[in-house]
Amino acid sequence: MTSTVLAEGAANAHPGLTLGLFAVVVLISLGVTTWASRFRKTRDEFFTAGRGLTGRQNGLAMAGDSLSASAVLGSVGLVSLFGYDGFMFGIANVVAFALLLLLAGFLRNSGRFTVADVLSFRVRQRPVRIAGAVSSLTISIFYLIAQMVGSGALLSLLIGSTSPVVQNLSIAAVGVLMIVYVVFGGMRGASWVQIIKACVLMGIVTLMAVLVLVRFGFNPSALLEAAGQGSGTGGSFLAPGMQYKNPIDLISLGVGVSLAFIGLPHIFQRFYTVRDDRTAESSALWLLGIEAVFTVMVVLILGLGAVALVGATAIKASDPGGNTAALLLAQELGGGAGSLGGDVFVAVFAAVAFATILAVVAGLMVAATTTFAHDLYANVLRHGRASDGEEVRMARIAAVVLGLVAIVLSLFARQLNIGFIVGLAMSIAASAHVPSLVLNLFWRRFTTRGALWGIYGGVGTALLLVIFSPTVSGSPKSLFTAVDFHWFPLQNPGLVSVPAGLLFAVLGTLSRREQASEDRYPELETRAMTGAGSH
Amino acid sequence: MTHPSGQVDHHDPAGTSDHVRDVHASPEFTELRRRSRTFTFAVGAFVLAWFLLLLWAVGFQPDLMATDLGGHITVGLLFAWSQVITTLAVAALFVRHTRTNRALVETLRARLDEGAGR
Repeated sequence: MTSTVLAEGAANAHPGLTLGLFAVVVLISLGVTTWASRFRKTRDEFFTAGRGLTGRQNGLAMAGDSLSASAVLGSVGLVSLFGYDGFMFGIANVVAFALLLLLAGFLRNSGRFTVADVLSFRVRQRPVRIAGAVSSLTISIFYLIAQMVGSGALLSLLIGSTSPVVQNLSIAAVGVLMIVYVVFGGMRGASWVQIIKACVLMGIVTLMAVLVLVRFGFNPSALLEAAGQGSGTGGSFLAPGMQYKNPIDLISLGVGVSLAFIGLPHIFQRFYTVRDDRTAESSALWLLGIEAVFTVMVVLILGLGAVALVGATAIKASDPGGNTAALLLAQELGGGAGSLGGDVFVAVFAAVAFATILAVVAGLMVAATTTFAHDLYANVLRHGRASDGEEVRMARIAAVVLGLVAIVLSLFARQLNIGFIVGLAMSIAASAHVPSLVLNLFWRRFTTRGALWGIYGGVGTALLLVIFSPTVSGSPKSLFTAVDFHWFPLQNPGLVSVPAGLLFAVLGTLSRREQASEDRYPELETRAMTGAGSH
Repeated sequence: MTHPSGQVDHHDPAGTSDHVRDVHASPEFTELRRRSRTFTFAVGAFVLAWFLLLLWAVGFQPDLMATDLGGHITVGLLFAWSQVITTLAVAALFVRHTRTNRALVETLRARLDEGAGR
């Protein structure tokens, strides 16, 4: 990633100011962690903040989870470079949260901490728990590596240095901070860092959106007109088809993203940080409301504003992927390159982006450690006989070990073009978790074999299709550009892998009856629908 | 493994108690299930279908979507915005749905908790 324009013109103008604000972010987050560490770390406290968050707090934290730095900067960049097509990712998110709302109460009632808790409710514990844990850990680790590698690239953009040393140090620093947050603060610390960040982030981007609208006299047509001119493509900027030449690819992406959020472990676990199903539903309502406003108003206005005021040429010159579009817009809104207002605005925005990275990796690490300690250690390795204290101790050990592993993997992955890996994690969540979660809730006959085939089949199909897709080989933007072994035409596997996951789960179920699972179904169904006996 | 509250933990292999079975088979629960499933499936299917229609139109009807309705507001832009409006409508319907069912849910929940020895 080269960033000469930004390095000369924007973030580097006052590196002292930027770094000072970064230090403030670190201090505030460590303060929150210190406060959270005072709560005695029982199992419920460590994994679910004592189930004491309100619907609004949890909704904000979930919104924070979904608004990662790459998502916010990325989607503004996508709109600024690809116009209409870039907007589709945001719409897919809103649709995803509507679907999540429909299932929120059922999922809250039938589980305790993890995806595997819900999936193994009525079928044979061990094999299904292992399967659910394997898929959950895969998703969380992929997601985490993507965020950490992204943070290295992003931080060097924000600081205005392209040296590999800065990138490596950034990755290591983010990783170490993440370990500290999780080990000492647990879910409570991670949640409040996320909530504070979500408020600050929404505040600053809303301010930017208003400033953009002021520039255009609150006239959407004027903004759209200027965006078309700034893009250099004129009228076609707002026409579909700029990003995805193959229409099926866009549909496949949409299917994957809109279903993924039901099965992403770090979002899923948030449903258990509240008291009951009604609070879980209220969290989902807040999430949907925030995301609806954010996507339409903010991402669209900022993306259009960036291309209208900064221009596509300058955006691409700064970063071909568009990740700095929002920063360049901040600079422009603050008074332009070299002005004090512009420099201050860029520094503040960079600090918020940094806070976003920290909060999101902490949330991901909480989910990964919970799966490791609760599913694999306590329930599989110790057959459910580990004490609560042992489970928490194992979670803390896991946070250190998994954190170090994630740092090392990210340092290796840094040189690779792994932009696709978030999409892969989402596809796995949509293909492996969602069909089995839905069948488990609504199909009395669903069995152990159905769950196993569904989970492993979904993970396998998604992985296989991505490995043989143009994202891994055979195109200039691939992971391996020198070889070509792709035969699957789509970049996103969702359109095939989600139905495949469903088919595996259904065939596995139909292939052999399991009386025990059907006998336990009334217990699950009454609990899911009324909340009786839920944790 | 028994939960501190005295109820049977869901990891217990013993399965569903007779009391839960009775409540599960009661007309009240049957009614709740009918309402919940109808709502969840119908609304879920609508949301997905409406979204897929947008994606299809984006992919296969680009000219229609690029039609300018005046002031650079295109059909595609309105269709995309309509997705947000419909999800907000879904949220409103969902709130109404849970309010309608609340009394029924609470009755059933109390009956189940009673049988669990609370």
